[in-house]
Amino acid sequence: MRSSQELKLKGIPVSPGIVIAPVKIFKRKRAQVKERILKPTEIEDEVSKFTKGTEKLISVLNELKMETKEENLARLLDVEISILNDTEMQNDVILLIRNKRRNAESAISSVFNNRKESLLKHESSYMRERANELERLGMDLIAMINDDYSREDFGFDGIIATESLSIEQALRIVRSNAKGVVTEVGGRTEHSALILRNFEVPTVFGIEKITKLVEDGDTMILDGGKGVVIINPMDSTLNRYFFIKSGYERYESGLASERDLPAITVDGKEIGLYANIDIPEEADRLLDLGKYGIGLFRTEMVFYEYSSDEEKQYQIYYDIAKKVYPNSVTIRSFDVGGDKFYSDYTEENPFLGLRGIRVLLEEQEVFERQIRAVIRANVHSNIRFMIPMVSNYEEVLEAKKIFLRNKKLLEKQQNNVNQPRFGVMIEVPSAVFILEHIAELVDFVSIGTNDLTQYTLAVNRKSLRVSKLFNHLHPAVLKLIQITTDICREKNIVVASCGEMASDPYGVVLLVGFGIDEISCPSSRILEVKSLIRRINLSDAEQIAAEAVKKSNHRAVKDLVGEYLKSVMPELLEFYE
Amino acid sequence: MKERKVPIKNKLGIHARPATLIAQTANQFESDVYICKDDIEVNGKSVLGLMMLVAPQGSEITIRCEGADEEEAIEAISKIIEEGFGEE
Repeated sequence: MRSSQELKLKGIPVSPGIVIAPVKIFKRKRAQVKERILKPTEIEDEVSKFTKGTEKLISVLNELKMETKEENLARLLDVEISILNDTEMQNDVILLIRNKRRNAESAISSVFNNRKESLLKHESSYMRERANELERLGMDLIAMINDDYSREDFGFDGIIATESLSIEQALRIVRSNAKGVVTEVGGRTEHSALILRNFEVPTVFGIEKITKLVEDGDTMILDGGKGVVIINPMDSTLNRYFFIKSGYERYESGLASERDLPAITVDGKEIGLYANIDIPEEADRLLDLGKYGIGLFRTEMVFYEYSSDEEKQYQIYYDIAKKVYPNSVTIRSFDVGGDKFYSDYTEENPFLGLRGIRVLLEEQEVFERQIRAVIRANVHSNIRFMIPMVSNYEEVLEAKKIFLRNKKLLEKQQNNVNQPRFGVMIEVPSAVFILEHIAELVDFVSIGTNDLTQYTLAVNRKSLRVSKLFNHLHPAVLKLIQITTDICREKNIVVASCGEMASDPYGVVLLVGFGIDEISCPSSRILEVKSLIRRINLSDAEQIAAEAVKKSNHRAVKDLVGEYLKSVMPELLEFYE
Repeated sequence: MKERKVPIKNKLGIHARPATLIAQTANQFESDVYICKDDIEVNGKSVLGLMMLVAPQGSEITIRCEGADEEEAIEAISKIIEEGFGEE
């Protein structure tokens, strides 16, 4: 199975960074489950093996929970602890051992697999997604009863290769010396992926059979930003990557030297630079990068946990606003539906179905609860509230009415109500063409370039077959952005951009050229975007943008902008795919 | 035996975390606890059982408690459900 050839494998980029290090394989797998019929004398020993193993795993998770400061992560562990404490699960396993004389590991495997299969049939997609996590918990339990489970495992100064990762393993990895992680299965949205990204451990998921293709101690190159893993690298490849890596590090420290400088073009236009965040804890890390506001706080994680709890939401929004003050935070209302879980309702074509503002207007109680929490949290007058996926004027009118009605109600209950600035996402082409009317209702707009591209080009970016047609440099997308920025300038409202285009160097040049006021990107890209802005001449960018919209295809646009990038910041292109 | 119908108020209905909360609460009592939705009845002390329920917002579930502390049990469980599992 092991190959001696250099092999370059492509997986899912989960967390960026380049690592060149020896690899170590960690396996806890189903294949190790051996079914055995017990002798009558063995039965009670096997039962106690199971109960002791369960207790041990519970105490491991409990200990970890105590060490975990982040409440959200602690709660994830709580679910796993409750499953292990589940007496029905325990009785099922014990019955199999006693009545069918099955050994403990095969009994556990049957019971967990049964439950997993039922979960996979659950009406709710959110519950279906929990099935893999349940299976992994069962595997952990089996490892525990076989004494195959050790907490010191990850004290290894290299790359960890494993089949999949539980939340608990991810939490231990981020506290260990491990330099990188590669797995065989897993998706970008898994809880373990979120943890690794949060703690900046370079990670690639989804490299099939990786634990079989390498042996402990083999040298591996892992590029988390590109989702690439190279095994058995030749000397020339190694040298090239050492060069890339040291260049990358030098480049990064170069970027860091501009940390405290403003994002201002050579000819003096300052662009507001903001970060996108998904979970409140990310705001803490943001402070290390300098003083930035938040241009996009996605509240879907808040929705999953606290959609019915106004007080808790208030606390979350208040804390973030306080943290980033005197900068602002733009809170985007719940954008559920589409590919994100929304109740048990399924759409044949979710991206064209009940989604974004359409959900909010149908679920007014949830919407109003969030609105009240947001308005109450605006103590420092630095909160903006933003509505996702608008396509019609009436929707914005209705949302604004609800917003103002709740503000008035709050004014009757308390003094000093500060009305947050009110805005919408521009991500559906129809909204662009009626923007002059929508502009009368809003204080700002933010262009969501990912959805705008998807809806303009009729391409699902996650499609296996057509995602290569997805490109935000397509001249049609650029024209829509141009119209948007022109109308905003005329109507004198702030125009921001928060999609992937806002962290793509090509996109940044064009956005600046179109006259964008603010750019919001993932915190990992902030310094790079700032360095680039500091090298751009606004008048050059304007000229390039005006030419780009006349091109016939995205390649021509890329060539045009690429030439300019080469002249102002050549080192950037080296590290950009 | 005590029985009570309660509406599900939170948006996502009974998913992993609410199931955990119900089971944690139910396990504090001696009484047997059952949660029924339509024709399905699950053990209220089993988080895995509760996770199988399809109980979205707006639906109604029935709590049934039987035992020495059934009164307290049904109060405590109704309370967390009626609060939409928001607390903690």
